[in-house]
Amino acid sequence: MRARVEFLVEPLEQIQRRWPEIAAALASAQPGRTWGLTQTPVPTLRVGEINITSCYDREREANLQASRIPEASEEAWVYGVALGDLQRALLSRPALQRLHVVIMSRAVARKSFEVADHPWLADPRVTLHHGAVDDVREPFACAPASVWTAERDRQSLRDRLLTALAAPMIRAFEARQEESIKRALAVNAAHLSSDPDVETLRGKHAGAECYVIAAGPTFDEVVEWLRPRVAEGVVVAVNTAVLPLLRQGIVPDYVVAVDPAEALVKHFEGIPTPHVLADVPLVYAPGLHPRVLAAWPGTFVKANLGVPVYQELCPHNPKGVLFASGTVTHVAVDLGVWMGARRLCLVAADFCFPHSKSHAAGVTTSMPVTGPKIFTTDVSGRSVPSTLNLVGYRDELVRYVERVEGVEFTRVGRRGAAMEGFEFVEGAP
Amino acid sequence: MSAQLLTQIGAAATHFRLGEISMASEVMIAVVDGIQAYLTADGDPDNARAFMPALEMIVDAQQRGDFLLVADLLDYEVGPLVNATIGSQGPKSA
Repeated sequence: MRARVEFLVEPLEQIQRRWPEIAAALASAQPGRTWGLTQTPVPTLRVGEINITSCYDREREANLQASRIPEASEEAWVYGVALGDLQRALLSRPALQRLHVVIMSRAVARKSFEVADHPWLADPRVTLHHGAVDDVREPFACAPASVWTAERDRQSLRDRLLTALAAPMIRAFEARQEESIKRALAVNAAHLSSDPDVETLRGKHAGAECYVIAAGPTFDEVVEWLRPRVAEGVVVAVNTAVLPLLRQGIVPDYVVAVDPAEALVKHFEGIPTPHVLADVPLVYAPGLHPRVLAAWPGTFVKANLGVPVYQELCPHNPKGVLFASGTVTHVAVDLGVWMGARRLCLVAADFCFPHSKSHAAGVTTSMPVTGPKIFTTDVSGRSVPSTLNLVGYRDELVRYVERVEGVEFTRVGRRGAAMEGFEFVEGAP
Repeated sequence: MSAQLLTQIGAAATHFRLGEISMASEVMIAVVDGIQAYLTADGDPDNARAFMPALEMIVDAQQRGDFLLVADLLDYEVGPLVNATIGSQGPKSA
């Protein structure tokens, strides 16, 4: 660590000389957090409540992080400045010709330049980036605490990085899910041979106002707003929303369920007024857990999903293919579009944990939120806890909406995660 | 048992340092289960007390997202404790 007075001369001067536009961006950074140096075996920078590096052995940690990049690589990307240890580790490799370093937070980077030496800034192999890099370039390594403390307009990049880092676990989960789907396909064979196809619903509600309702924590805040409106529109409920809607006296027009996991069954057992669902179709994926089909008191419509596992296991039945990328909400939204909605309003699909809750009150899987979280922003611009999965689902939905023409997408639930492409309904909670 | 637990502790710390939070969290479940299983079988309150400060710090750090500190506590506090207690003695009831 260095004395503060040294900082404002060297690293910023170096940056001013090589990347003047980045120097200007750093100079305009708002601190916005508490800062300090730890009193630990090895001092490190503390940003808010987290350490920016190891406080025991920074070199060992940096070498481990650098190991993500093959030794023979001539080019590498580093996301996050931290204290410069990872950059030093990579630049010590003779094979490396070009090192790109991407600033994730101007304020954190600036503070780091205040308290640590950064000789890597003078290395001609280095290019410093801020703002222009929006995707994950390979091969890459990251200084993870710098990624977790990404500033607001770098959070989309942060989420892509975290998704890339979680790829092995996602692949393992998909492999386990494939086995569950195979078992369900065998049990659901009779349904799949006789139930009508989602093709029969194509354009059925052309020009309609459609409400796609999930069971996020904002459900309780928006339900009174929702109640008088649903009579004029088509209501598509995702599986977890069925019981909360029925408790409010709202009967959905369609229910969507796709999950092969047994945990889903809880949302369909003990329905208090099953007779009101007698004519309501359950739009289901072929690999839905069989006990959900057994518990459903209404009618059935089968739908294929546009994911590799279904295209491989049952490419021709069902015929109609709905969009899916990790959550039933995707499928429900695409069902609304498929049926011809002119305007589609997303309700209580929050993709985050407002009030530190996971679901609306009374949902069987509702639980206090604990464990690792990341933070995103809600509709009002406030920071709100979420998870990598949820923000990933949100981003997939945003990309889906960008591809759809002729539909106006709106949403309600001000404490839900902010989403591009969805106009917030004026006056809604 | 201690070899497996030490491997899991090292794996969790490595995942945290690489930013692989999902994997780290999954391995952490095995780590906590392993330590609890040992302390239950051991039954020695002194050993339980030895682990407690580090485990409490880990819980706090995990709650606030201070994952590199979690990795440090695993590598430099819990790992050596496992070596010193489980590694040298083994659970008394084992």
